[in-house]
Amino acid sequence: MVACRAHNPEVVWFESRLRNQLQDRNVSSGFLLYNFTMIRIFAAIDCEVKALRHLVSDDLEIVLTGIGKVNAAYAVGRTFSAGLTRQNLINDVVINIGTCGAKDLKGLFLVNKITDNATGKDYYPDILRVSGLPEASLITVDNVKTDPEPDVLYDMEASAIYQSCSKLISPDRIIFIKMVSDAGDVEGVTEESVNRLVENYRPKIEELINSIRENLGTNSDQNYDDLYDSLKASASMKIQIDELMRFAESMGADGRKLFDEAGAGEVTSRAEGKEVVARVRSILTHLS
Amino acid sequence: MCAAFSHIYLEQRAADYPETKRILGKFPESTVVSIRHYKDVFNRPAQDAHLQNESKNLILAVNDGKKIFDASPVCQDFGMGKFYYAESAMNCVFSCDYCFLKGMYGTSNVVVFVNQEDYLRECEEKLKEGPMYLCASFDTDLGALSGISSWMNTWEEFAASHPDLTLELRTKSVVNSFRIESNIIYAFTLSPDEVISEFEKKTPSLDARIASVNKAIEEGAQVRLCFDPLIYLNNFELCYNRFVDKILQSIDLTRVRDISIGTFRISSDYLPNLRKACPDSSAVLFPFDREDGFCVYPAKLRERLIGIIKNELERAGHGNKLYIIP
Repeated sequence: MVACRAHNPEVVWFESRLRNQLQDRNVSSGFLLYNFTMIRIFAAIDCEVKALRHLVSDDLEIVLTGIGKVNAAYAVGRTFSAGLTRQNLINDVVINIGTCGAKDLKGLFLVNKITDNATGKDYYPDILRVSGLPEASLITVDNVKTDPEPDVLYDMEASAIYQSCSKLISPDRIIFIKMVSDAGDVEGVTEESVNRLVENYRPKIEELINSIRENLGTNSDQNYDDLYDSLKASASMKIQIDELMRFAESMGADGRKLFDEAGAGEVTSRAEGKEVVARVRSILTHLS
Repeated sequence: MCAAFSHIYLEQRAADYPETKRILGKFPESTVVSIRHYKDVFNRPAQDAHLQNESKNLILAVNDGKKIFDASPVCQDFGMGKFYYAESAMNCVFSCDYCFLKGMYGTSNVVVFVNQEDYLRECEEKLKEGPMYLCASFDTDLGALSGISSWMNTWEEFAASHPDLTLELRTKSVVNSFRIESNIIYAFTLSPDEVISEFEKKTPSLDARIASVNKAIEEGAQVRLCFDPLIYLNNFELCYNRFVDKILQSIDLTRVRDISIGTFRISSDYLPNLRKACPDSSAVLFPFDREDGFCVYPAKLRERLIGIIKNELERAGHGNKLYIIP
C-alpha cells in the first residue's frame, strides 16, 4: 500500500488511439458504439503501472484513479459514463493492479474476496480463468493499516472499484492483482521501490493480461436493418425477426434465405410483412 | 458423478456441520473462500452463467428460511394431492441447455445446504397435516450430486421411516444403489441420444440411463420414467420414433410404476436468463408461444411431439400408466 504522496486530483487516462477516434466520431450522438472488447486497467498511482505503460493499445487502456475509494469510484464512473451502454461494455474486462499491505503474505496475488472495512460488506470477484497466481482475500481500508491481521491483504481502492464496476460488468471480468509492498510500515515505500516491485512482477502480470486477451469475446453486432425495412417492421415485429434469425442460425438454417423465399422482397405493407414473418416461423417450426 | 470445483465458498456458520466436513474432505484441491451468506455469492448481479458453466463453483450454506415449498402448477402431481418440493440444493452439476434452473438463478454455481436435520424437522411438521408427496430433487439433481453430498441417502432414510411421505427422486444420472420402499420413487428422465449430446451436457448417455433403470427394476425399486421435456429438433419425428422404439425394446414397462410425458415449457420470466446462459442453443432460441405466463411450443407442435411417444406407448399396451402434461 503506497502512502498518500502522489494524489491525482484528476483521473488520468493512458488510452487507446482507437477509443479516442471512436469517441470523437460518436460524440454528437452521445453514444460510443463499438463491437470489440476493452481491457481497462485501473491503478491508484502512476508508479503502480509505469512498467506496464507499453501495454496500452487499441484494446487496452490504463486509468489512474488517485488514492482511496472515492477517487477510485469516481474514476470508474468517469470511464464508463461516456455514453456507454451495458451492451457495449458486456465483454469488457477491468483489472485493478496495485500495491497492498500484508502482515505475513508476500508476493503477487489474485484477490478472491474483498471486504470493505467501513461497511463490512463482502464482494467476490469470480475467478473462472486459470491464472497460476496464488489467491488471497483483501480488506479495503480508508487509511493505511499499520497493524495488519495475518493472512489477508490491505488496499485502499478495491471495494470501490468492484462495487462500481459490478453494476455493468460480470464479476468474472473484474480482476484484482495485488503486490505486497509493505507490512503497514509505509515509510519505506517509495515510488522507486514500487517501480522495482512492479518491474519484478511484470512478466507474470503480462502473462495474465495476455491470457485474458486471448479469451476475450466480441460484442454481437447482428444487424437486420435491411430486413426490418423490407418487411416494414414495427418494434414488436423487429423482436420477432431477431428471434427467428437467431433461432434459424442455431438450427443451422440460413435465416435470410428463408425470409427471401417467404417473399420478404415483395412486401408492400406492414400487414404483408407480418405474413412473411408468420410464414418463416411456420417453416422453422415444422408447422407448415 | 463427482465434479471438481476450483473454488468452494463456505458460509462461516456452515463450517461445523458434518456434511460440510464430508464434502470439503472430497475436494482437498479446491480453494475455500469463507463467506458470510450464500446470497453474497449466489445472487451477485450480472454473473456470466455461460462462462461459469465451464467452471462451476460450489457453495456450502445453511438454509435458515423456508425449506419445503408448494410445487409449481406446471409440474405433474401424479394425482398425489399435497405436493411439495424440498430445496435441498440449488442448481445442478449437469448442464442442460433448457433447464429452468439456468433461467431462475442467473448463475451456474451450485449451493448445497448442509443443515439436513432442519429439513427433516420441517418435513415432519408438514406430515402432521397428513400424507404428502415430496420431490426432493427439484431445484437440483440429487443423483448427480450423490458423489458430493449425502442428500439422496438422507431423504431415502427419512422416507423409509415415514410411510406417509411419498418421496420422488428425479435424476438424469446413473444411480447405483436403490432403497426398496413402496414410498420411494426413482424418476429417471430419458431423452434421445441426439437431445442428450446437443442439449444435456455432462449427463450420462441414454444407454447408461437405461441400464440404471433396469437395475432399479431388477432390485424391485419403484421406477418412474419421465419423457419430459420433449425437445424440438430438426428431425424430431425420426429421432423420437427411434427413441421410443429403443425404450420399448430395452425396458420392461410392465414393471414401471408410471410414465410422464411433457414438452418443454418455461416461465416467461426465466427465458431471458436462459437465453443468456445458452446463447447459441436452439432449445432456448425457439420462437415460443406465450400462454399464461409460460413460454411453450405452439399447440400443434406439442400435439405432434407428445403424440409420437403417447401413441407408441398406447399401442404397446401401456396407456394406463401415462401422465401427460398437455
